[in-house]
Amino acid sequence: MKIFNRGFTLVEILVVCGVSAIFLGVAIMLFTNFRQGYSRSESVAVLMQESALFLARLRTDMNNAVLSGPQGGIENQIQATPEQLRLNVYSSGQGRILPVIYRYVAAGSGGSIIRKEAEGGEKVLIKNHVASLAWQMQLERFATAGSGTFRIGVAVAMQLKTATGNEKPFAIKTCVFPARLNRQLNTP
Amino acid sequence: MSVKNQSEKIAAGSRGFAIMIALVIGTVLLVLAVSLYSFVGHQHSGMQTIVNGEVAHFLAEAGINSSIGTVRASIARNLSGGATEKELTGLLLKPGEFTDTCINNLLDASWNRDLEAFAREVDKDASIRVDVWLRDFESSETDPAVWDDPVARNGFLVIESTGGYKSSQRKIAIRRRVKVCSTAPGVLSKFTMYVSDAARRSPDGFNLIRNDYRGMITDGPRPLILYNHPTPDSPIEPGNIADVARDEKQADVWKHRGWLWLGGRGIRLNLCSGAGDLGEIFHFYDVSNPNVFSPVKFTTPADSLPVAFSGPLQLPWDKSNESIRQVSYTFGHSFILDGFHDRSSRKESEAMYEGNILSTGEKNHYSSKSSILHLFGDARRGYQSRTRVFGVVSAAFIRFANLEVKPEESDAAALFAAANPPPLYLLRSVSGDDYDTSVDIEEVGRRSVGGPLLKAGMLFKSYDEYAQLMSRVVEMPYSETYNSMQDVCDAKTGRTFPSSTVAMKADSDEVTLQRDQHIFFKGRPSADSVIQLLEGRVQFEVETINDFWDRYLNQQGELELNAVVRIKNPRGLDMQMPAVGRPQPMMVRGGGIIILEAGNLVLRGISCSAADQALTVVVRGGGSVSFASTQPNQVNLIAPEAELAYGSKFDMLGTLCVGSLYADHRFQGGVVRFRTGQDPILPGYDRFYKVFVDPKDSYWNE
Amino acid sequence: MNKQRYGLSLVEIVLSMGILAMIMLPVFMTFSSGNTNIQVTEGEFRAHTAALELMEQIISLPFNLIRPGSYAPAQIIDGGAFAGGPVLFRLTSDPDLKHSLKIEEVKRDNKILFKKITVTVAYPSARASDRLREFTLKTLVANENI
Repeated sequence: MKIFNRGFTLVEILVVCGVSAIFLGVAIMLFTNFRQGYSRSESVAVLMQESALFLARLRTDMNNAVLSGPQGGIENQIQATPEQLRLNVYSSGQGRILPVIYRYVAAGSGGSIIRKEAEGGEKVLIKNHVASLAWQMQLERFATAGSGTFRIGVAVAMQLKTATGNEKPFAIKTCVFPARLNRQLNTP
Repeated sequence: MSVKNQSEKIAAGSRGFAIMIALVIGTVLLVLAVSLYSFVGHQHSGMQTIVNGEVAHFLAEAGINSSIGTVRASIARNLSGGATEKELTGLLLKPGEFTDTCINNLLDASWNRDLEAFAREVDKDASIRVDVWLRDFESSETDPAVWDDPVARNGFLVIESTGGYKSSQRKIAIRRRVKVCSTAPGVLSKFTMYVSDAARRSPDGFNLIRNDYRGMITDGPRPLILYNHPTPDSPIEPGNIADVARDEKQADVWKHRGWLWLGGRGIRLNLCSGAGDLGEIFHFYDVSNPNVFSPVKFTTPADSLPVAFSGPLQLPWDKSNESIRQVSYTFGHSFILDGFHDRSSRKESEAMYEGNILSTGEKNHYSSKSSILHLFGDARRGYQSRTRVFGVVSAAFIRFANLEVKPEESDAAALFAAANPPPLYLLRSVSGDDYDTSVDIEEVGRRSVGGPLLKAGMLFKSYDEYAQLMSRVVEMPYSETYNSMQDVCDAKTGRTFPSSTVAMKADSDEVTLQRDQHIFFKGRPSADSVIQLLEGRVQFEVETINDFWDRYLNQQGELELNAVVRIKNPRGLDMQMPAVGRPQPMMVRGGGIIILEAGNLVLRGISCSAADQALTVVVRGGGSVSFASTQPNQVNLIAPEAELAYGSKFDMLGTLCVGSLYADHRFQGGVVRFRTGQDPILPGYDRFYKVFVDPKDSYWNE
Repeated sequence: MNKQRYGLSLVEIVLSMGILAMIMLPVFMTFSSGNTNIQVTEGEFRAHTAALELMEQIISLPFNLIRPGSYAPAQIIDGGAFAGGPVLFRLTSDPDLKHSLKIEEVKRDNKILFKKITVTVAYPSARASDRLREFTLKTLVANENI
């Protein structure tokens, strides 16, 4: 290699530009990929987190659910309409049974899920991220000895998406069974 | 060579620049990577924590479901076990603040060892344990104006299961209400009787009865007799004479006796005493031989008398100064009541005055009057009243003091014995100003029986000594009473019957009940606030009286209450205790409090199986309380709106609280005795605390 | 004697590229593995939800209906019979998840005190990948009949 005291040759500059172009191009491609993947992962992560929290909250309420009283049949222990899910929960803090209502407020840009406990205030569990939500009370009856065995649960199917909307929505489907309520229903 | 050096130098000079750039870029990207990694890492561990929490919840649930039966059985065993196992009860009955306590060690908590082993079978990081706690206790009775009880408290028995998996823990708890309170009715347990309106709205309202001291009368209502302490002849928890005698020596013995509340208005009260063989001790003397004269009197014990009484005195035989014979006399002192003994053969009928002191005309005029209430106690002259009575009391007949004169020589003694009536030497009422040592003490009626010529100075050194024994009955701390017999002795003309003299007025209606340093109550006793207090203790409610019997009668027909129960009784049916068709008396194996919201109460005999059980029955609302049998009743009755109605002659041990006493000829009378064990100022009161645990569990919840 | 240099020699460029590459390699690997991790977490979340669903429905049954045994993924399908008995499975999860269930009795003194339930859900570690990871939930159910 010849070393020059001042200035660059054209060849040098071209080589350097070419090398750096390749290098930068690869780097930019990687970074762009990464960024897209990252934001998708991030939004998935955020939606996953929100759905996990909602399901955990629902699960806690269902674990503390109790029979609502002599006048309700088994079907009335948990009442689900497209907009509302209603159940009775025993609160140890207040030492009594309270009704808990989950509300789904649909909206074009993303609905919300709100929880309300007895006369207390409403708490928004998921805000403006719900693309669709369907919950349904399921009552199964199995023909065992005696009057049969009941199993009650709540099937939840929901899709969450972020505000930008161009990532794939996060969909989850599950069914939550309240263990203690089921035991109460099946105890003679 | 120089070119190489040059390039080296050049290379050396500029290498640092590029590397630095590379390092800077690399560091920035490294930081980005680390943050992303930690974000993802949190995701991952966040997920892990949620999962661990869920497994911990399942384990806690398994823990509580598996051991709840064993734990409940262990608690039940501890609460109802024998004396040695009652540590849980003992813990709850300690006075003062109660901090949250884990009681696993009291219950022999073997279940945790097994649960630990089972959890290990699932996973080495899993754990289950079940703990039993007494939590959130608060003192429930803290107002001394109502009742301040250091032991009464409410709280929870909590069975808590903790499931653990890796680093997460979940707790599930089941709670049961616990109430600790006393089955004795607060301030009223200090009273033998509490009547909201004894005068039935009229201060002169009292009932004429013809009676003797046994209450045997032919017409008019029979007397209601109140004992302010237990007596040897009581069918339940009889008193010990030795104890009563020992108490007599104390000046403030009234603090240990049952009290009376007469509604705060004027009421006529007859104070009387028992017969004399046992001296000052009150004893209801049974006259088995009507022909033997036994005056209704009681004798002052020798060691309470002045010095001159301790030995014989030589005194002239005749009641004149020229007596030639000197006889030795010994002296005693006693009180005799008006109008309660008939020394004629007709003892069963009209009581008459002792010793025919009154003329026939006087007898016809005054007859014997007494109110429905006869307070048997030790209202001894010169000493404090043995019974604290609240209210304005007008007494009809009190007592007069008799100097007992006994000649030592046999012929003189025979003369005294043959005199009919026997000689009575009254100590006259005189005031301090009129007293001097030459005051004559004469036989009433001034008969010459060969008695001594007595001057006051021979027996009493000072006016105080004389006043201590003279015929003015001083019910301290109340006012003086009226001595009708003194008028007779003084041959006073124009005697007025003391119809409206105030004999006793409570200086205050305030009561302080205190034991050691603790003040239970300070203020004016009120039946309404006692009812509020007992309502606050209610643990359980039943709808009808039949429901009550179904639940609380055991197989043998005994009442196993051990609770404070309210009976709603919406149809207002009458409650009979024991129930119709059940044997009398009803045995109470576990005491408690019953609040009857409506209806009347009829008692036919109640007996507690042990001295540490007490039954209190509260009757709310107007109506009546009556006794349908002569069987003794060991019960406290709180019915401040109800009337004590006629029924059969009754016998009660405990506190009687009624609105008023109905008195017509159908009232058969009865006896009420103070149950000393229930006195809050005595340590025996602590036996009546009970621990009530709600049989219903709350739901389990996290 | 001009000591100043403005340019960079190729040696320097190559050297610094090498150092950069050395630093960047683990960084990029972290990035891509982070991506994978998030994907794995999503899969884990779905598997966890499915496992919980299966676990809860078994625990909700009365104790006697929880029949001990080992149940393979083929037997555990939505609407399929549980242990041949009247009880049916109710599963709403993705088809690419494979459930397996194991129920064992825990005895003491010849009494069945607990049943140990192990739910394992196999899920693909990344989208359309062949590698399967497993998610396990274990717990005890107490015999409430004693």
